[in-house]
Amino acid sequence: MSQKIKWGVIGSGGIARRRTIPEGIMPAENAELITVYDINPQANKEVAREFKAVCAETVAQLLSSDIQSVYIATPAYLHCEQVLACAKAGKHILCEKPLGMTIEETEKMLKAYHKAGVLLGTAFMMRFHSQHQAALKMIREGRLGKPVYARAQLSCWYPPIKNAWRQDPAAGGGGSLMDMGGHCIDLLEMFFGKIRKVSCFINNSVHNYKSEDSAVATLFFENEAIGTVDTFFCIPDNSSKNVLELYGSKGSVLAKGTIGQGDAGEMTAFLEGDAMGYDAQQTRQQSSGIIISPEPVNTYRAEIEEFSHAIIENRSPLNNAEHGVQSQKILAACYESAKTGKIIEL
Amino acid sequence: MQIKQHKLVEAVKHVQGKYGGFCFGGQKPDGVYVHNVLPRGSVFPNGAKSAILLTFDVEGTYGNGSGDMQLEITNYKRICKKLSECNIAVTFNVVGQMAQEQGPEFVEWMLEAGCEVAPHGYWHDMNKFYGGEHIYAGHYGAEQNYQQIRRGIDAIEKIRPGSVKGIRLPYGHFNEYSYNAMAKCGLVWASNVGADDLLYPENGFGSSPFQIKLGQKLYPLVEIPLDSQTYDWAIWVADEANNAEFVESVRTYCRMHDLPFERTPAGAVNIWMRRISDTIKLQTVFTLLCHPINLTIKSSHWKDAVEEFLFPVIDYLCVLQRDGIIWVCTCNKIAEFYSNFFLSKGV
Repeated sequence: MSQKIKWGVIGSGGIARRRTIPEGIMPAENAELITVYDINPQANKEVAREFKAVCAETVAQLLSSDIQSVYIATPAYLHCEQVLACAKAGKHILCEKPLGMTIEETEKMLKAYHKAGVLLGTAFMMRFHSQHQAALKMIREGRLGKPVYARAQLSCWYPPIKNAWRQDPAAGGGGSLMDMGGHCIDLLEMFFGKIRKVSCFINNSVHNYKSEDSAVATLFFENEAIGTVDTFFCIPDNSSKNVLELYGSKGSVLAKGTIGQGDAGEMTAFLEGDAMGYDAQQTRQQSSGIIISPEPVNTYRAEIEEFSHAIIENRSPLNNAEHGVQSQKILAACYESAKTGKIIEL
Repeated sequence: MQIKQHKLVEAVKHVQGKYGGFCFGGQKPDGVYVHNVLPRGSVFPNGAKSAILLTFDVEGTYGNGSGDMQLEITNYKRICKKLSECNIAVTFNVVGQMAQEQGPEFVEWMLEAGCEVAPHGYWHDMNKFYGGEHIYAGHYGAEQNYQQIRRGIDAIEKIRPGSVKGIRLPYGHFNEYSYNAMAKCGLVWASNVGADDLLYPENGFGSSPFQIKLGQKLYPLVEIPLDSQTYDWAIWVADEANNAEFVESVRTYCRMHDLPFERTPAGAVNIWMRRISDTIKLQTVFTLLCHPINLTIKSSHWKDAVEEFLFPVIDYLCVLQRDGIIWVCTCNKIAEFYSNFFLSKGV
């Protein structure tokens, strides 16, 4: 029987309950859920009962249980304190994004995990989407030619809700940009490489909560490609198709619905010249392009399995902490640009 | 989800020690951390904001090259003359055994041209001394690694006492015993890790110098990442059959940079010129790598590889340096710059 990593969850009531536990930890081949904790005791009991886990009453109790790794899915303002506690207890950590509230916090977290000799990962699970991986392969093989322009969109309707931490920068670090834009920026960095400078607008176009409900960031990559990220809390779900557009000098990859929590979506490649020789599996040529439809992968399961593998193999996980720190730096630069009206160099 | 590794060379982890391995061909060594990266836009001594290091691994037939060693040695005379005329100082990483057995004359030419000479290990393949099949530093423990480095330094310093400041290990393969030995020998720089990996960017270390950390231990050595993707292009492309993956990696580079993939010296020079111009745009540092033994290979693609491949690059560097656009320096000079930079910041 293959080795299984014993997991605990801090913040069991939200995304953990909806997605990461049922789709990630429970079906993962190399993971098992041991202990859960949530600030809401009732919700925690329900999660523990539903997934047959031990119900911890405090973080300390969870950390003293027989676990090797912790998934943190609490509001962003709690991440630093909890990551430091996990590192001190010698537990590996997969933390939801944003990794922290500030660059200083994320660097403090990096130091702590280096010192503790544990692994720290950032839960950018959209990297694992099978269509994103297929697009990445095409880009890295140079099928799109020189990267020229990329767009990532992730928007939804998120009306004012009392005590919603994503609507208060003091708890979530920001609004639509921090919450959803972080995924988009991380994906574009995966596709096109490091971002060199940014400019950004944020606004409260519809909702009047403290966090922004609208953000558009323009990105300039080290390879001189340009990108945009648009992310809104004030566009109806069905109106935003969460598009991903990747353009190069020899073609493009255009997708709808691949950015998000699911594993589906539509993706088509349009290639020119010698790049047309692309012959990936599970694709078919159409006059209107090449449909990219590899076997779907549940991104939550892939993320948990990869992180567990990294622990077993004592190597850095693909979703490592450095991605989280980099994301934090870019987001901070975007907010600074929005505030000052200036282009910010990273 | 397991990601398939791109394979240019056999996957070889360190066998002894906890950290290290290869940085080439889609592989990433274990437990290597980057500390204090030299920031982009640093102003170098001639006012330029970009630096290019031209480095040569001098191996003769002591390594895995298959050219004409005597021709390679003869070539150093005209290469050094050219460098001297162009006021370009480079770093030659010479296999210690070769310096000892084939020198000292060619090493003296290098030093007289104002270049840096550093060891490329004493034995290129460590099994040539220790026997068996294990050729890499990471296969060996503390004493063997110390001997590899100490004897490499001694072979060069026998020709010019006190001149050695750094090392590039053969194949860039290492473990913590290698770095412990380098630190013990008082070296200030090492150049073993790959700057970029085209297919797996996360495996690249970036092109700027940094201070290397293995596990929890921070070493007092400046690590200078080198080109591990587009080096020796003209030579390897001449033999595509035996180097298919390497050539594919270069093809990918061309596709991603909108460069024509031309199997000619001019095509190769274009790639290095792009590397140099990207370095200028990004205001950073980049380390080029050439194995001169490969410049002796006969091919229908060129008449004289030194003239057609290497000299145009040296001419280009000469003009850029003259105009203050780049600083061309040795590994030791960039290490000195690095140390002063962080010293001035109180780090």
